[in-house]
Amino acid sequence: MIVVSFVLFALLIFAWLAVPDKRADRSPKPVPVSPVVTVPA
Amino acid sequence: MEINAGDTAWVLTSAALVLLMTPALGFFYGGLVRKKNVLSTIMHSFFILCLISVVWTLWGFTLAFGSDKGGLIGGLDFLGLRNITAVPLPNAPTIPAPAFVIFQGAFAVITPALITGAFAERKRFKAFVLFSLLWSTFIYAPLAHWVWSPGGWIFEMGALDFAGGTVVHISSGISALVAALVIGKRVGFGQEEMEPHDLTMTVLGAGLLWFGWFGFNAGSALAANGLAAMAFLVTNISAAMGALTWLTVSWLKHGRPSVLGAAAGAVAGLVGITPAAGYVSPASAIVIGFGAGFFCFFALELLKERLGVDDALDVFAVHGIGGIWGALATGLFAEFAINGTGADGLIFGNPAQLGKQVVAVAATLAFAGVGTFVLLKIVDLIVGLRVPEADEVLGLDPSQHGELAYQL
Repeated sequence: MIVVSFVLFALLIFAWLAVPDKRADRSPKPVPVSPVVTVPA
Repeated sequence: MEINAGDTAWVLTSAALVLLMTPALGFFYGGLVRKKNVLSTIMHSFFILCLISVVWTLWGFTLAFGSDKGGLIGGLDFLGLRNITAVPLPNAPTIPAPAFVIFQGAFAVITPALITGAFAERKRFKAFVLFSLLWSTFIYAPLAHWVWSPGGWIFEMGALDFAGGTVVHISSGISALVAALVIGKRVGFGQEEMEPHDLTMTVLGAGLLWFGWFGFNAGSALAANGLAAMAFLVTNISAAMGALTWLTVSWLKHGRPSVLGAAAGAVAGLVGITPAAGYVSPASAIVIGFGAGFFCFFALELLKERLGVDDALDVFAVHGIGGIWGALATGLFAEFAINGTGADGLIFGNPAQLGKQVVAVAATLAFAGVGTFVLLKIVDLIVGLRVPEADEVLGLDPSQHGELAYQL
Protein backbone atom coordinates (compact mmCIF):
# COMPACT_ATOMS: atom_id res chain seq x y z
CA MET A 1 0.00 0.00 0.00
CA ILE A 2 2.92 2.36 0.61
CA VAL A 3 3.97 2.03 -3.04
CA VAL A 4 0.41 2.76 -4.15
CA SER A 5 0.38 5.85 -1.90
CA PHE A 6 3.57 7.17 -3.47
CA VAL A 7 2.26 6.52 -6.98
CA LEU A 8 -1.01 8.34 -6.29
CA PHE A 9 0.76 11.35 -4.84
CA ALA A 10 3.24 11.39 -7.73
CA LEU A 11 0.29 11.42 -10.14
CA LEU A 12 -1.15 14.45 -8.39
CA ILE A 13 2.17 16.30 -8.51
CA PHE A 14 2.55 15.46 -12.19
CA ALA A 15 -0.96 16.77 -12.85
CA TRP A 16 -0.22 20.06 -11.04
CA LEU A 17 2.87 20.62 -13.16
CA ALA A 18 1.33 19.48 -16.43
CA VAL A 19 -2.00 21.28 -16.37
CA PRO A 20 -1.84 24.32 -18.69
CA ASP A 21 -2.53 27.76 -17.30
CA LYS A 22 -5.91 29.12 -18.20
CA ARG A 23 -5.83 32.71 -19.36
CA ALA A 24 -7.50 35.18 -17.07
CA ASP A 25 -10.88 36.45 -18.23
CA ARG A 26 -10.41 40.14 -18.91
CA SER A 27 -13.64 40.70 -20.79
CA PRO A 28 -15.65 43.63 -19.44
CA LYS A 29 -18.33 42.61 -17.01
CA PRO A 30 -21.91 43.77 -17.71
CA VAL A 31 -22.69 46.82 -15.64
CA PRO A 32 -26.05 46.59 -13.86
CA VAL A 33 -28.38 49.29 -15.13
CA SER A 34 -30.51 51.07 -12.60
CA PRO A 35 -34.20 51.36 -13.51
CA VAL A 36 -35.18 54.82 -14.65
CA VAL A 37 -37.44 56.42 -12.14
CA THR A 38 -39.61 59.27 -13.30
CA VAL A 39 -40.39 61.75 -10.61
CA PRO A 40 -43.82 63.26 -11.10
CA ALA A 41 -43.79 67.00 -11.41
CA MET B 1 7.61 3.93 30.13
CA GLU B 2 3.90 3.35 29.76
CA ILE B 3 1.45 5.40 27.74
CA ASN B 4 -0.04 8.14 29.90
CA ALA B 5 -3.68 9.04 29.16
CA GLY B 6 -3.31 12.65 30.28
CA ASP B 7 -0.19 13.22 28.19
CA THR B 8 -1.84 11.64 25.17
CA ALA B 9 -4.97 13.76 25.50
CA TRP B 10 -2.93 16.95 25.84
CA VAL B 11 -0.64 16.25 22.88
CA LEU B 12 -3.60 15.32 20.63
CA THR B 13 -5.39 18.50 21.71
CA SER B 14 -2.20 20.48 21.08
CA ALA B 15 -1.88 18.97 17.62
CA ALA B 16 -5.38 20.22 16.80
CA LEU B 17 -4.49 23.65 18.19
CA VAL B 18 -1.35 23.86 16.06
CA LEU B 19 -3.24 22.68 12.96
CA LEU B 20 -5.73 25.51 13.53
CA MET B 21 -2.85 27.97 13.32
CA THR B 22 -2.41 27.45 9.59
CA PRO B 23 -5.91 28.57 8.55
CA ALA B 24 -5.53 31.27 11.22
CA LEU B 25 -2.40 32.40 9.40
CA GLY B 26 -4.49 32.48 6.24
CA PHE B 27 -6.82 34.99 7.94
CA PHE B 28 -3.89 36.98 9.34
CA TYR B 29 -2.23 37.25 5.94
CA GLY B 30 -5.51 37.43 4.02
CA GLY B 31 -6.56 40.63 5.74
CA LEU B 32 -3.21 42.26 5.00
CA VAL B 33 -3.35 41.97 1.22
CA ARG B 34 -5.43 43.91 -1.29
CA LYS B 35 -8.91 42.52 -1.87
CA LYS B 36 -8.04 41.22 -5.35
CA ASN B 37 -5.55 38.79 -3.73
CA VAL B 38 -7.29 37.66 -0.54
CA LEU B 39 -8.45 34.25 -1.81
CA SER B 40 -5.03 33.45 -3.24
CA THR B 41 -3.40 34.33 0.07
CA ILE B 42 -5.81 32.23 2.13
CA MET B 43 -5.43 29.42 -0.41
CA HIS B 44 -1.66 29.32 0.21
CA SER B 45 -2.24 28.36 3.83
CA PHE B 46 -5.14 26.00 3.15
CA PHE B 47 -3.37 24.20 0.32
CA ILE B 48 -0.21 23.77 2.39
CA LEU B 49 -2.28 22.20 5.15
CA CYS B 50 -3.29 19.51 2.66
CA LEU B 51 0.01 19.23 0.78
CA ILE B 52 2.39 18.93 3.72
CA SER B 53 0.06 16.57 5.59
CA VAL B 54 0.66 14.07 2.78
CA VAL B 55 4.36 14.89 2.38
CA TRP B 56 4.84 14.39 6.13
CA THR B 57 3.12 11.01 5.92
CA LEU B 58 5.08 9.74 2.94
CA TRP B 59 8.63 10.99 3.60
CA GLY B 60 8.77 14.11 5.80
CA PHE B 61 8.46 12.43 9.17
CA THR B 62 11.04 9.78 8.49
CA LEU B 63 13.57 12.32 7.17
CA ALA B 64 13.09 14.36 10.33
CA PHE B 65 12.71 11.68 12.99
CA GLY B 66 13.98 8.43 11.48
CA SER B 67 17.16 6.84 12.85
CA ASP B 68 20.03 9.31 12.67
CA LYS B 69 22.35 9.35 9.64
CA GLY B 70 25.49 11.29 10.46
CA GLY B 71 23.73 13.94 12.51
CA LEU B 72 22.22 15.40 9.33
CA ILE B 73 19.09 13.50 8.32
CA GLY B 74 16.77 10.73 9.47
CA GLY B 75 16.78 7.27 7.91
CA LEU B 76 13.92 5.68 6.01
CA ASP B 77 12.62 3.49 8.85
CA PHE B 78 9.30 5.36 8.86
CA LEU B 79 8.87 5.82 5.09
CA GLY B 80 5.13 6.05 4.44
CA LEU B 81 4.77 5.84 8.24
CA ARG B 82 5.54 2.12 8.22
CA ASN B 83 6.59 0.88 11.66
CA ILE B 84 4.39 3.54 13.28
CA THR B 85 2.09 1.78 15.72
CA ALA B 86 0.51 2.73 19.04
CA VAL B 87 3.83 1.95 20.73
CA PRO B 88 5.60 5.18 21.85
CA LEU B 89 8.79 6.39 20.14
CA PRO B 90 11.88 7.19 22.24
CA ASN B 91 11.36 10.92 21.49
CA ALA B 92 8.03 10.89 23.35
CA PRO B 93 7.90 7.87 25.65
CA THR B 94 4.48 8.47 27.26
CA ILE B 95 2.31 9.02 24.18
CA PRO B 96 1.43 6.73 21.27
CA ALA B 97 3.64 7.26 18.23
CA PRO B 98 0.77 8.55 16.01
CA ALA B 99 0.20 11.40 18.46
CA PHE B 100 3.84 12.45 18.10
CA VAL B 101 3.63 12.12 14.30
CA ILE B 102 0.57 14.37 13.94
CA PHE B 103 1.82 16.90 16.50
CA GLN B 104 5.12 17.28 14.64
CA GLY B 105 3.26 17.23 11.33
CA ALA B 106 1.32 20.33 12.33
CA PHE B 107 4.65 22.16 12.76
CA ALA B 108 5.80 20.96 9.35
CA VAL B 109 2.57 22.33 7.88
CA ILE B 110 2.70 25.85 9.26
CA THR B 111 6.40 26.52 8.60
CA PRO B 112 6.29 26.81 4.78
CA ALA B 113 2.93 28.58 5.12
CA LEU B 114 4.71 31.36 7.02
CA ILE B 115 6.98 31.99 4.02
CA THR B 116 4.03 32.63 1.70
CA GLY B 117 3.61 36.12 3.19
CA ALA B 118 6.83 37.23 1.51
CA PHE B 119 5.75 36.48 -2.05
CA ALA B 120 2.04 37.24 -1.66
CA GLU B 121 0.26 39.03 -4.49
CA ARG B 122 2.68 37.99 -7.25
CA LYS B 123 3.72 34.32 -7.16
CA ARG B 124 2.36 31.74 -9.57
CA PHE B 125 0.28 29.13 -7.79
CA LYS B 126 2.12 26.33 -9.55
CA ALA B 127 5.46 27.77 -8.41
CA PHE B 128 4.17 28.06 -4.85
CA VAL B 129 3.12 24.40 -4.86
CA LEU B 130 6.45 23.13 -6.17
CA PHE B 131 8.48 25.39 -3.89
CA SER B 132 6.54 24.35 -0.77
CA LEU B 133 6.98 20.67 -1.62
CA LEU B 134 10.73 21.04 -2.15
CA TRP B 135 11.27 23.37 0.82
CA SER B 136 9.51 21.02 3.21
CA THR B 137 11.62 18.12 1.98
CA PHE B 138 15.07 19.70 1.65
CA ILE B 139 15.01 22.46 4.28
CA TYR B 140 12.43 21.72 6.96
CA ALA B 141 12.97 17.99 7.44
CA PRO B 142 16.77 18.19 7.80
CA LEU B 143 16.51 21.18 10.15
CA ALA B 144 13.96 19.43 12.34
CA HIS B 145 16.35 16.48 12.48
CA TRP B 146 19.36 18.63 13.38
CA VAL B 147 17.56 20.38 16.23
CA TRP B 148 14.96 17.98 17.63
CA SER B 149 15.98 14.43 16.85
CA PRO B 150 18.44 12.55 19.07
CA GLY B 151 21.63 12.29 17.02
CA GLY B 152 20.98 15.57 15.18
CA TRP B 153 24.12 17.70 15.38
CA ILE B 154 22.52 20.79 16.93
CA PHE B 155 20.58 18.60 19.37
CA GLU B 156 23.79 16.85 20.40
CA MET B 157 25.65 20.18 20.66
CA GLY B 158 23.15 21.16 23.35
CA ALA B 159 21.50 24.19 21.74
CA LEU B 160 18.01 24.74 23.16
CA ASP B 161 14.93 25.20 20.99
CA PHE B 162 11.80 24.26 22.89
CA ALA B 163 9.17 24.73 20.19
CA GLY B 164 10.78 25.94 16.99
CA GLY B 165 12.65 29.24 17.17
CA THR B 166 15.24 27.94 14.73
CA VAL B 167 13.34 25.13 12.98
CA VAL B 168 10.16 27.12 12.36
CA HIS B 169 10.72 30.85 12.69
CA ILE B 170 14.31 31.61 11.71
CA SER B 171 14.12 29.14 8.83
CA SER B 172 10.87 30.57 7.47
CA GLY B 173 11.95 34.15 8.16
CA ILE B 174 15.25 33.99 6.29
CA SER B 175 13.62 32.00 3.49
CA ALA B 176 10.98 34.70 3.20
CA LEU B 177 13.64 37.38 2.89
CA VAL B 178 15.45 35.42 0.18
CA ALA B 179 12.16 34.78 -1.62
CA ALA B 180 11.24 38.47 -1.52
CA LEU B 181 14.61 39.42 -3.01
CA VAL B 182 14.59 36.71 -5.68
CA ILE B 183 11.01 37.19 -6.85
CA GLY B 184 11.25 41.00 -6.76
CA LYS B 185 8.90 43.78 -5.75
CA ARG B 186 5.21 43.91 -6.52
CA VAL B 187 4.13 46.10 -9.42
CA GLY B 188 3.68 49.58 -7.99
CA PHE B 189 5.56 48.91 -4.74
CA GLY B 190 6.75 52.23 -3.32
CA GLN B 191 4.64 54.21 -5.80
CA GLU B 192 1.09 53.37 -4.81
CA GLU B 193 -0.69 52.56 -1.55
CA MET B 194 -0.89 48.84 -0.76
CA GLU B 195 -2.98 49.06 2.37
CA PRO B 196 -4.45 45.97 4.10
CA HIS B 197 -7.96 45.39 2.79
CA ASP B 198 -9.50 44.00 6.01
CA LEU B 199 -7.82 44.46 9.37
CA THR B 200 -10.72 42.81 11.19
CA MET B 201 -9.74 39.60 9.41
CA THR B 202 -6.10 40.14 10.42
CA VAL B 203 -6.93 40.67 14.09
CA LEU B 204 -9.16 37.59 14.03
CA GLY B 205 -6.22 35.65 12.57
CA ALA B 206 -3.84 37.00 15.20
CA GLY B 207 -6.26 35.98 17.96
CA LEU B 208 -6.58 32.47 16.56
CA LEU B 209 -2.80 32.23 16.18
CA TRP B 210 -2.37 33.23 19.83
CA PHE B 211 -4.91 30.55 20.84
CA GLY B 212 -3.20 27.90 18.74
CA TRP B 213 0.22 28.89 20.04
CA PHE B 214 -0.66 27.38 23.42
CA GLY B 215 -0.60 24.00 21.68
CA PHE B 216 2.56 24.95 19.82
CA ASN B 217 4.55 25.82 22.94
CA ALA B 218 2.88 24.04 25.86
CA GLY B 219 2.28 20.97 23.70
CA SER B 220 6.02 20.80 23.05
CA ALA B 221 6.44 19.52 26.60
CA LEU B 222 4.93 16.33 25.08
CA ALA B 223 3.24 15.76 28.42
CA ALA B 224 0.50 17.25 30.59
CA ASN B 225 2.76 18.40 33.40
CA GLY B 226 4.27 21.39 35.17
CA LEU B 227 6.58 22.17 32.28
CA ALA B 228 3.62 22.42 29.90
CA ALA B 229 1.85 24.71 32.37
CA MET B 230 4.90 26.98 32.64
CA ALA B 231 5.31 27.07 28.85
CA PHE B 232 1.60 27.97 28.54
CA LEU B 233 1.97 30.79 31.06
CA VAL B 234 5.12 32.37 29.60
CA THR B 235 3.63 32.15 26.09
CA ASN B 236 0.71 34.32 27.12
CA ILE B 237 2.94 36.79 28.96
CA SER B 238 5.30 37.28 26.03
CA ALA B 239 2.47 37.69 23.52
CA ALA B 240 0.86 40.36 25.67
CA MET B 241 4.15 42.16 26.24
CA GLY B 242 5.04 42.00 22.55
CA ALA B 243 1.69 43.58 21.62
CA LEU B 244 2.01 46.32 24.22
CA THR B 245 5.58 47.14 23.20
CA TRP B 246 5.03 47.24 19.42
CA LEU B 247 1.87 49.29 19.93
CA THR B 248 3.72 51.77 22.14
CA VAL B 249 6.73 52.18 19.88
CA SER B 250 4.58 52.66 16.79
CA TRP B 251 2.32 55.07 18.72
CA LEU B 252 5.35 57.15 19.70
CA LYS B 253 6.72 57.09 16.17
CA HIS B 254 3.55 57.54 14.13
CA GLY B 255 1.25 59.29 16.60
CA ARG B 256 -1.58 56.72 16.70
CA PRO B 257 -2.18 53.43 18.58
CA SER B 258 -2.28 51.08 15.59
CA VAL B 259 -4.57 48.04 15.65
CA LEU B 260 -2.28 46.29 13.18
CA GLY B 261 0.66 47.16 15.45
CA ALA B 262 -1.02 45.42 18.38
CA ALA B 263 -1.75 42.32 16.30
CA ALA B 264 1.73 42.16 14.78
CA GLY B 265 3.32 42.78 18.17
CA ALA B 266 1.40 39.88 19.72
CA VAL B 267 2.67 37.57 16.97
CA ALA B 268 6.22 38.90 17.47
CA GLY B 269 5.96 38.17 21.19
CA LEU B 270 4.73 34.65 20.44
CA VAL B 271 7.61 34.08 18.03
CA GLY B 272 10.14 35.37 20.55
CA ILE B 273 9.02 33.07 23.35
CA THR B 274 8.80 29.96 21.15
CA PRO B 275 12.36 28.63 21.58
CA ALA B 276 12.46 29.73 25.21
CA ALA B 277 9.01 28.60 26.38
CA GLY B 278 10.12 25.52 28.29
CA TYR B 279 13.22 27.07 29.83
CA VAL B 280 12.42 30.54 31.18
CA SER B 281 10.54 32.17 34.05
CA PRO B 282 7.55 34.53 33.78
CA ALA B 283 9.80 37.52 34.52
CA SER B 284 12.10 36.55 31.66
CA ALA B 285 9.04 36.22 29.41
CA ILE B 286 8.29 39.90 30.07
CA VAL B 287 11.78 40.81 28.84
CA ILE B 288 11.54 38.48 25.84
CA GLY B 289 8.15 39.87 24.82
CA PHE B 290 9.45 43.43 25.17
CA GLY B 291 12.51 42.66 23.03
CA ALA B 292 10.39 40.94 20.39
CA GLY B 293 8.01 43.89 20.04
CA PHE B 294 10.88 46.37 19.99
CA PHE B 295 13.31 44.62 17.64
CA CYS B 296 10.69 43.37 15.20
CA PHE B 297 9.10 46.81 14.87
CA PHE B 298 12.39 48.46 13.98
CA ALA B 299 13.42 45.59 11.71
CA LEU B 300 10.23 46.12 9.74
CA GLU B 301 10.80 49.87 9.47
CA LEU B 302 14.39 49.32 8.35
CA LEU B 303 13.56 46.67 5.76
CA LYS B 304 10.54 48.27 4.20
CA GLU B 305 11.17 51.98 4.46
CA ARG B 306 14.96 52.25 4.33
CA LEU B 307 16.02 49.22 2.27
CA GLY B 308 12.88 48.95 0.12
CA VAL B 309 12.63 45.17 0.42
CA ASP B 310 9.12 44.02 -0.58
CA ASP B 311 8.66 41.22 1.95
CA ALA B 312 4.94 41.78 1.40
CA LEU B 313 3.61 40.69 4.79
CA ASP B 314 6.76 41.28 6.87
CA VAL B 315 7.69 37.66 7.47
CA PHE B 316 11.40 38.28 8.03
CA ALA B 317 10.89 41.20 10.39
CA VAL B 318 8.47 39.24 12.58
CA HIS B 319 9.55 35.60 12.27
CA GLY B 320 13.20 36.01 11.31
CA ILE B 321 14.16 38.74 13.75
CA GLY B 322 11.72 37.48 16.41
CA GLY B 323 13.12 33.97 16.05
CA ILE B 324 16.74 35.14 16.26
CA TRP B 325 15.96 37.23 19.33
CA GLY B 326 14.12 34.32 20.96
CA ALA B 327 16.92 31.84 20.27
CA LEU B 328 19.55 34.20 21.69
CA ALA B 329 17.31 35.13 24.62
CA THR B 330 17.07 31.44 25.45
CA GLY B 331 20.86 31.48 25.80
CA LEU B 332 20.53 34.45 28.12
CA PHE B 333 17.55 33.58 30.31
CA ALA B 334 17.26 29.76 30.37
CA GLU B 335 17.12 28.28 33.87
CA PHE B 336 17.99 24.75 34.80
CA ALA B 337 15.61 25.14 37.73
CA ILE B 338 12.68 25.55 35.30
CA ASN B 339 13.58 22.56 33.14
CA GLY B 340 15.97 19.88 34.33
CA THR B 341 16.58 18.67 30.77
CA GLY B 342 17.71 22.16 29.73
CA ALA B 343 20.57 24.33 30.96
CA ASP B 344 21.30 27.66 32.57
CA GLY B 345 21.82 30.67 30.31
CA LEU B 346 24.33 33.48 30.46
CA ILE B 347 22.75 35.46 33.27
CA PHE B 348 22.53 32.32 35.38
CA GLY B 349 26.25 31.70 35.04
CA ASN B 350 26.56 29.65 31.86
CA PRO B 351 27.89 31.81 28.99
CA ALA B 352 28.64 28.70 26.92
CA GLN B 353 24.91 28.26 26.33
CA LEU B 354 24.73 31.57 24.50
CA GLY B 355 27.57 30.42 22.26
CA LYS B 356 25.63 27.26 21.37
CA GLN B 357 22.56 29.34 20.57
CA VAL B 358 24.63 31.60 18.28
CA VAL B 359 25.91 28.56 16.38
CA ALA B 360 22.37 27.18 15.99
CA VAL B 361 21.11 30.55 14.71
CA ALA B 362 23.98 30.97 12.25
CA ALA B 363 23.63 27.42 10.92
CA THR B 364 19.89 27.85 10.40
CA LEU B 365 20.31 31.19 8.64
CA ALA B 366 22.99 29.83 6.33
CA PHE B 367 21.30 26.52 5.53
CA ALA B 368 17.78 27.85 5.00
CA GLY B 369 18.96 31.00 3.24
CA VAL B 370 21.22 29.30 0.71
CA GLY B 371 18.90 26.31 0.30
CA THR B 372 15.91 28.54 -0.40
CA PHE B 373 17.85 30.50 -3.02
CA VAL B 374 18.77 27.28 -4.84
CA LEU B 375 15.22 25.91 -4.66
CA LEU B 376 13.73 29.15 -5.98
CA LYS B 377 16.09 29.10 -8.95
CA ILE B 378 15.12 25.49 -9.70
CA VAL B 379 11.41 26.30 -9.47
CA ASP B 380 11.91 29.34 -11.69
CA LEU B 381 13.53 27.15 -14.33
CA ILE B 382 10.75 24.56 -14.23
CA VAL B 383 7.55 26.61 -14.02
CA GLY B 384 8.49 30.30 -13.59
CA LEU B 385 8.12 32.05 -10.24
CA ARG B 386 6.01 35.03 -11.06
CA VAL B 387 2.67 35.67 -12.74
CA PRO B 388 2.64 37.89 -15.84
CA GLU B 389 2.40 41.59 -15.00
CA ALA B 390 -1.11 41.89 -16.42
CA ASP B 391 -2.29 39.06 -14.17
CA GLU B 392 -0.66 40.68 -11.16
CA VAL B 393 -2.39 43.98 -11.88
CA LEU B 394 -5.72 42.20 -12.36
CA GLY B 395 -5.18 40.31 -9.08
CA LEU B 396 -4.32 36.71 -8.31
CA ASP B 397 -7.87 35.78 -7.31
CA PRO B 398 -9.33 36.26 -10.81
CA SER B 399 -6.13 35.46 -12.74
CA GLN B 400 -4.92 32.36 -10.87
CA HIS B 401 -8.11 30.99 -9.37
CA GLY B 402 -10.94 32.46 -11.46
CA GLU B 403 -12.76 33.41 -8.27
CA LEU B 404 -13.45 36.56 -6.27
CA ALA B 405 -13.59 36.89 -2.50
CA TYR B 406 -16.32 39.49 -2.41
CA GLN B 407 -19.31 39.91 -4.75
CA LEU B 408 -20.21 43.40 -3.63
